[in-house]
Amino acid sequence: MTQATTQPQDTRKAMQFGIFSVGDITRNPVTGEEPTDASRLQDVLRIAQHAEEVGLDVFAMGEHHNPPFMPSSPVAINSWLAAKTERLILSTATTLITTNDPVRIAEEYAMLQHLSGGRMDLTLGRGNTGPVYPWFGEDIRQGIPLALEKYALLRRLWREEFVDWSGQFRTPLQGFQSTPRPLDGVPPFVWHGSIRSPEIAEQAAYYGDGFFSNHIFWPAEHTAKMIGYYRQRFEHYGHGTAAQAIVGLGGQAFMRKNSQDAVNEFRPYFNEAPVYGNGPSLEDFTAQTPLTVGSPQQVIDRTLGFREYAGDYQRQLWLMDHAGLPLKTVLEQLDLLGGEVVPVLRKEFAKNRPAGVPDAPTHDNLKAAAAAAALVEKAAEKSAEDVELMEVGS
Amino acid sequence: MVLAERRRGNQSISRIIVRQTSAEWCGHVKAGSPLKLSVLDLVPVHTEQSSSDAIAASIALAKRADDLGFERYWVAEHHNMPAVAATNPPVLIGIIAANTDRIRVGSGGVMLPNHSPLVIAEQFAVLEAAFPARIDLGIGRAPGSDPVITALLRSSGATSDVDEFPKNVQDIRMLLSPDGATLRLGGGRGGDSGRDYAIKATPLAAAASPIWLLGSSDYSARLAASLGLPYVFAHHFSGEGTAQALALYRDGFTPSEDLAAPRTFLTVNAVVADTAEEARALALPQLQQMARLRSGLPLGPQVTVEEAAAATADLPPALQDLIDRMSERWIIDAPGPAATRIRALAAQFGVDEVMISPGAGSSVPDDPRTAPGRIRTLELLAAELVTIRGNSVAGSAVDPNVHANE
Repeated sequence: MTQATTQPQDTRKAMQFGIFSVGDITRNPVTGEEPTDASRLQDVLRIAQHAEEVGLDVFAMGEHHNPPFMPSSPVAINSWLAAKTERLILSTATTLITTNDPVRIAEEYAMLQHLSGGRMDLTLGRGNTGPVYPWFGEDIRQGIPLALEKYALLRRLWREEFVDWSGQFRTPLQGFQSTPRPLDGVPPFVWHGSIRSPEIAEQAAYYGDGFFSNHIFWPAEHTAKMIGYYRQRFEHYGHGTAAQAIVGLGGQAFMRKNSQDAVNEFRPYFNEAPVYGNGPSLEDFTAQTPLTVGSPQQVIDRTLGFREYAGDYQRQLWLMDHAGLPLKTVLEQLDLLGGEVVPVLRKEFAKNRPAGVPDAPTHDNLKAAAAAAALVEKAAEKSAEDVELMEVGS
Repeated sequence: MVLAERRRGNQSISRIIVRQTSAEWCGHVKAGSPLKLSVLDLVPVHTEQSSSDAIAASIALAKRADDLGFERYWVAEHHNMPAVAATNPPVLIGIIAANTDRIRVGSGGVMLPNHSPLVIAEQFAVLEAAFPARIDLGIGRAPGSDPVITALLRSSGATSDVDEFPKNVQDIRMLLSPDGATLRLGGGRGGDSGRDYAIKATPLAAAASPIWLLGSSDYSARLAASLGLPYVFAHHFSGEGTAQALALYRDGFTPSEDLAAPRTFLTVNAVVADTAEEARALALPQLQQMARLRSGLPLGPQVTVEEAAAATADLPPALQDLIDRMSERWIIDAPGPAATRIRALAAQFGVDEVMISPGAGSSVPDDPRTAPGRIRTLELLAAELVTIRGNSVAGSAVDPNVHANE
């Protein structure tokens, strides 16, 4: 038998590396320039395409409905990017499961799945901005129940042809069919993002989905606790061993060859960044959270350290384009990330990675897994038939 | 798995996930990190005690908590109550801190509307200077009393400064900081911008005690979140509204110079003894006192365990009903089950520290200058829950400003 040289490029990777953007519109504190919605959107699109150019695997777009954030529709942005890229996996950071209609999520992301040829997945999050909820008829105090019920429906819409459903947070459905049906009959892969709610880790474990911990504001021990819990519960629900659970982590970095240059250049952006700007000092924040400001080697060392408390994991995303950083600087950051950091990380993370740890999820992986499962089922049916025949014959 | 989902329906999956989380997460947290325990003391006075005895008993309790590895010891502010000797947190904090070695000592809390912010800042600046990195300034918004007391506490009469609360918290924060605050004097007319007047709570502060906002409503949760301060919800009052207040606090949290991420703990009433039966007997005096308070009945000093047991037969049904309902929320049990419930509560609300308000009463033969029932509660819980930290001395030298990373 000949080698499969005609096979398309190997999409299987032990780990996926990439970036996520929250699409904040922040004045550049150094030049005073203020991006517009239009300019920021164009910058984000350019940044995402550059992620592919420098060899990164994933771009994840945030969803926000309040200033200073621009991206209200990550699925629209990712659809455009699907047409402009070839290898990049288009994900979200996050898709709001609480305030969106799960029927629309099912439809739109299945459409994106077809448009991108399976180069997509999504990370579900609840959103922690209280005022946003009532704009969409919801209440933040119901955050967890909303996330649990809406996802239970979303799953069924992708897995069952016709769905009868009734629940607390949405009008009932009778024989509803979500279209288009998932590509190759394989539902999009789902990560559940949470930084502090064990219920969401439990949910991810219950279904055997991925768990994404964007721990950029949190000390390591907290993240370790959440991930440890998800892994243990993943095993409990029978999806594999704890080491086989699917884990993704957030991170944040700013690099220059010389680490002091990085600190000096980044400090004014840090000081005025949305969320943590005008708060803790850069030094405190880098000590207490995964933010790394320094040389590429420092980012490599810090990121390799994540494995010590998260275990061998599947996806690493960094936030690189916020706080008013100019496009040119962000593109340079991606050059460093793709050119110097990620190649070393791929090599180092591969060392001592136990054989049973699954590769990062892709459409092809999931398709192969579904086919294998179907074969097993068929074989089981066949042997059941054989037993029946034997019984009839005897 | 898919088949199981279909049979179960959506709402029951949600219920399963929530129930499983509350059952399992606590064990995980326990395995992952030890729980920290703290004490809230109202300095109760019972029928066999003078105020002097009650304060001596609280000093004995604080010393034991210090030895047992408890994290912090807070005293409350109540006025003109026949059974509560904690009227003046800063004075009590000074006494307790001087009698202990390492435990953090603080107010749970200073009722700020009763006081001038500068006086509070000065008092806590002195305490911080005398006991570096051991003092917490917990601040509440309630008056802690009636209008007569408010009038007597405030030189300005019966109006307390509730409306000024957020501003006064910020003022204290600035006054305590080593840089101090600046007041703009005069100005406003004819383009005169006035002159700056510098104020500090103490001449040369090395550090400021952390400020905690305390509350039993959404208001302080929101305020603590917007100011980036640590926050404690008074879960021990009624056990209701905690999840909502903590969600508001955590979701709305804006990092500040003092704190990078939300920081909170849980308060519970607890009476722990060798057997559940003994714990129930020890809890009765305080339960009866609370039931009388809630029902608006006249109050006296706290009765003894013997007096409480004798009174049970004659209690009006409404009072007994109130006591029964409160008993369910309190932790009144033998050590093992009590610890399990405390761990479950910590897990449910995502905290790594629980503050115990030890509610055991005293017996007639007890030495009035100590509190054996309350001490026993702390000892039994410590044995179940506290891992003695080897470096408690080094721990107390940590800069309080990095408590976000504790």
